[in-house]
Amino acid sequence: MRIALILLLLLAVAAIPGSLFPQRNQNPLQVKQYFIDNPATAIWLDRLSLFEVYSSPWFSAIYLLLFISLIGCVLPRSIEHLKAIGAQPTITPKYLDRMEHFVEIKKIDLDQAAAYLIKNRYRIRRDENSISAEKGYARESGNLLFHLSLVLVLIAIGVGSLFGSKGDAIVNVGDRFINTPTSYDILGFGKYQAEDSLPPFSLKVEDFKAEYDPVTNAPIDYTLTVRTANPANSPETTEVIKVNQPLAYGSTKIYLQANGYSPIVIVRDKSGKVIFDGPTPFLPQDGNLSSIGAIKIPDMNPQIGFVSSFLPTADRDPIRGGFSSYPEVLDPRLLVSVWKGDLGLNTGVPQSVYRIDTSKMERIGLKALTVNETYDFGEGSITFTGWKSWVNLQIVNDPGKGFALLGAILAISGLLISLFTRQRRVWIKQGRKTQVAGLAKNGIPGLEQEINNLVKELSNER
Amino acid sequence: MSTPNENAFISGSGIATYLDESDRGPAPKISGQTLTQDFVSLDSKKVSVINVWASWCAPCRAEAPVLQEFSINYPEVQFAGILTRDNISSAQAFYESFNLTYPTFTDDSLLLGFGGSLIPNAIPTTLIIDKQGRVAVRISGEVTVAGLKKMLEKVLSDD
Repeated sequence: MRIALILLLLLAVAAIPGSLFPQRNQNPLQVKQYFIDNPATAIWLDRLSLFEVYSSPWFSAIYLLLFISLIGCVLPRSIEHLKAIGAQPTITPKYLDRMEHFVEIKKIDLDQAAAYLIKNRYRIRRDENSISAEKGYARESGNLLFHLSLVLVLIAIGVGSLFGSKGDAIVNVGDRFINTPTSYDILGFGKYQAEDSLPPFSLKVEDFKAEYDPVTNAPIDYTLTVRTANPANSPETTEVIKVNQPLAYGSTKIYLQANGYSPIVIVRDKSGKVIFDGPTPFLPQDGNLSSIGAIKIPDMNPQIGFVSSFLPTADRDPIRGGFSSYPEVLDPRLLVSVWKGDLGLNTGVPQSVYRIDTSKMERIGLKALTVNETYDFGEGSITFTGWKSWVNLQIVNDPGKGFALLGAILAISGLLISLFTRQRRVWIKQGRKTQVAGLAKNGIPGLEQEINNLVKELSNER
Repeated sequence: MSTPNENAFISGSGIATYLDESDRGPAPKISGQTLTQDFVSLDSKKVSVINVWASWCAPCRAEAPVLQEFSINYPEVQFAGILTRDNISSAQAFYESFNLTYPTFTDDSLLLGFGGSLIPNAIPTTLIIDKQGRVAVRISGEVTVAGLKKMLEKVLSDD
């Protein structure tokens, strides 16, 4: 018991870093950003699994130990309890006057007393001159149900992580997501899930609406409308996904997780030929969605990269320079610094899509673009034609979820039963007078009242 | 198509998987619009090499010349790309940069057809389909000349 409490406390303490550092499974974008802002610290934090606190070895160790101690404690108690359920109450002790509650009254009829106690849901042991009665076994049953349900929850979580999958994908409004491994930015499979087991749905992002409070700039509501088909290329239906209202295909759920903007640009080479035309997702930096990103044009000669920021509602101050003062697009700007040279993409080494390694490049221009403005940087031109919203979909298959819910419901029921059940013992002993004594387990109040009722009832009977 | 949000998008581990004939699952029928706006249908009686790619993906750029060279050296084999998470203008510019001559399909829902055989699990992924229209090889990640040659010869020499 003490070990379990210590471990429980440790678990609470160990969960703290999970709310201090961004977590990869909840907000991969913020984790990425942390790496960009503090690369040296981030590497160490990552080594200590502080971006995946809840699946880290040290966190797992604490709760596994907790459950081992729980099982070790609960199993023997369950066996004891099962035996006790079939057994009779204990023999009436010799000296009742030592009990927490004791009265001596005129002689009463033991048969009547027994009948009264049974009516009051006591289990009784009737000896020649005494009755030993006990009630409130449900307290222990509830307690054990609570602990056993926790074990069920743990098993359900285990099943989910072994047979489930979890992935993230950024999709622009207007684009279609095909549920196949290559469509994901990050995808993790449980140990026993095959990679071709993803349900073959398609999901076209039709519309995304974000509502903000005009006073505080805080988000009020997000609404994502999709056209979806399972399997892909079958007739589509229109569905709405909200923050706490995922779309479900069997045990696979599709959550709306984050959103941002993808500025759309057209890049032309010297001859005016279009080399790039489309949206590029940018990473939001703050609540007003000031976003940064990289637009890379590897198939121009020389290669061109635009280190960029997108400001949905552009504002300036002398200290911060350009920033966004509202998360909706009211007065957009695309700030680009133009680099030419080698983007490093042809080496085959994967690189971040949000950053440009400018070490082998030279800066040839700088411009703040308004919508439909074109900037000629000598090697070609860039036109800022508009923007799209993007959403980060988190697609989770958790086959253990139903059992986890069941376990949680049972655990709470067990807890309530054990909290509201009054476990007490009552003894009645016949001598020259009748002695009545009681004992409330765990000092639950109300015993005195109960004994008084009993005495009154039985004395009045006479 | 959108670009991914990770440094390392799901990029291949460079792992090649070769299946014995008895273990191979059927490949889907591969046909549809290509980058050049033509409608192309691959012949399921011929050995095919299918490459899943995107213009922003560095390993895809590194392996493109290798695939082009093979498509010339092995005229009896059909080479084709499947574009994923990219926009058409960037993909066309990529084709011009690398002077690629084999077709690339623009509808990535084709990838779902590989469930039940070897599903592409990274960008890039290269699949080799045998004469009976079954998926024989999956190379996740960048192909090398030696690796692709070895696998392709193996599938071509199947009975």
